Amino acid sequence: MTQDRKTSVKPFFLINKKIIYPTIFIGLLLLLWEQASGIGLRAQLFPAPSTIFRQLITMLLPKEGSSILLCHLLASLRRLTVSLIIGSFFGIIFGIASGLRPYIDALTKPFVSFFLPIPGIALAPIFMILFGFGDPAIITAGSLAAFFPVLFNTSSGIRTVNPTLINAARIMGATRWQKLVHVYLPWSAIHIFSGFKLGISRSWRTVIAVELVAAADWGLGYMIMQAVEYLQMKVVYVGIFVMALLYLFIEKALIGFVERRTIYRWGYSPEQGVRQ
Amino acid sequence: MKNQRVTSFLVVLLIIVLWHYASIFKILPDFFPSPTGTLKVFLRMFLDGTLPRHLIESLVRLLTGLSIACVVGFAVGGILASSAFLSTILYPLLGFFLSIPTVAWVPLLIVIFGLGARTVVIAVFLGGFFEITYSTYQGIRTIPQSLTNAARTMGVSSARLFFDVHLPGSLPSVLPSLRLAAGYAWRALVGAEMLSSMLRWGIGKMIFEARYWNDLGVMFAGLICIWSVACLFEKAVALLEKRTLGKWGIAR
Repeated sequence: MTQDRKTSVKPFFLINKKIIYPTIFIGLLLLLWEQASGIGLRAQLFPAPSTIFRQLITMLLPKEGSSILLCHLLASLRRLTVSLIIGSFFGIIFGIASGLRPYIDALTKPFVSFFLPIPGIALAPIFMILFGFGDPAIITAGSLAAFFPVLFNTSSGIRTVNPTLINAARIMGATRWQKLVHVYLPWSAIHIFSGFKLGISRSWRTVIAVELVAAADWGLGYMIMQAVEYLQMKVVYVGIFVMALLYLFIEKALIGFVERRTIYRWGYSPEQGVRQ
Repeated sequence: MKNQRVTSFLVVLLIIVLWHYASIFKILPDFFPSPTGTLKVFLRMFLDGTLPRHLIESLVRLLTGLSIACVVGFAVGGILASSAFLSTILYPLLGFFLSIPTVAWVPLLIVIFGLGARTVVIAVFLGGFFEITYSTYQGIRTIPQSLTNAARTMGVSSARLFFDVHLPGSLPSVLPSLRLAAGYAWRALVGAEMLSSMLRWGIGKMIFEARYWNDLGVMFAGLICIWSVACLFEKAVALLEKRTLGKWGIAR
């Protein structure tokens, strides 16, 4: 194996078809779009990629001290983070409780089975009435979108822990806290983590969706909706592009990093992880 | 199991009773309806035909968009899996599109396709399409090569290879993701209906309109409908899984 690696010292982007072919293809697509914009495609609806890119740069560069795009981005990210912290904190606590105690499970179950299938955005109008426009409505919807998947997965993870392990810990005289920290949590970590991943994806979708209808000042969703009102399509494309990049970054870089550092190191293989 | 069902039922009953007394003793804000008020709104809307109409219009849009997404997604996924070249080229793009929240398309679609039902159907389509394409591709790729080889040595045509080997073989990956895709599509539908302001009917529209009158009763009625449809879809896919994967014994 090591021999093979040593012989191929060429820069890997030159030999890796998986990178070079798609790059060429996407480049060609963009070129086609660039040429067709204004001729076949209406420039108003489909501005040329170069225009979109220029818009991206303009919005990214600081104007009067702050970059507009970064402000929108950070507003969305802040809402996502706050929602995730609230949602997963309570989700894990309630999940552990309902995984350990059947009567708590019976208490939470009706809520889970009602709220889990309901899209976060469907709840948005209710929160808009109760809390008004802006952050409170968005963050409540986002936290709920994260809360229920985390709760559900945590409690089912706790319940799958092998009772032999718990008995072993008990025989060795573990306290309740020790059992929780050293047996229950590590052995259900993969479930909790997949719930958390689902929570991130749901919360992100919900935050963006609710921003479209209920944001008051900043946020990527708000930016897009505002741009549509002024028919600035290039801003809309910039928004969608940034959203995709941001989510890819969160999913691949951040979650991948945490996964490698924690659950894979604890001996779970990547294949065991649940997608989405 | 049965015991737990009873407890859950009792819990729901308890919540309703608490809610009832909370609204009798004016603990809740004035516009917050009581359980009987919600039920009344639900029945009134059901009987005068508005609720069924909203629901049916939404369902028609959902099924149209989702079935197009299934057919196209299946075809594209199959093509991607059968050609190494195409899959190398298109796979990164697919990953990029998968990570865009579907509702983010809606403002764009509104400008391009107008504020009507077309936008909603296309949003539903986008919600389902990428997921189904991805899972078909992954499903076919994970079929053991020996199965394909066996079929090939028995001399089947490419079409039969696809329909008899690849299609059933990819179902363990496709069916769970169909559930996911239906969820995305349903989400996209509700979001798109809220934003497409020229619509008159649709469950998302109904909830969103109720906001102007602070009418929580209508919203609750809408939520119950949204929940029931989501559950129904879940049940339908589960049944489909049982009928195919369960019967063939290839469930994962």
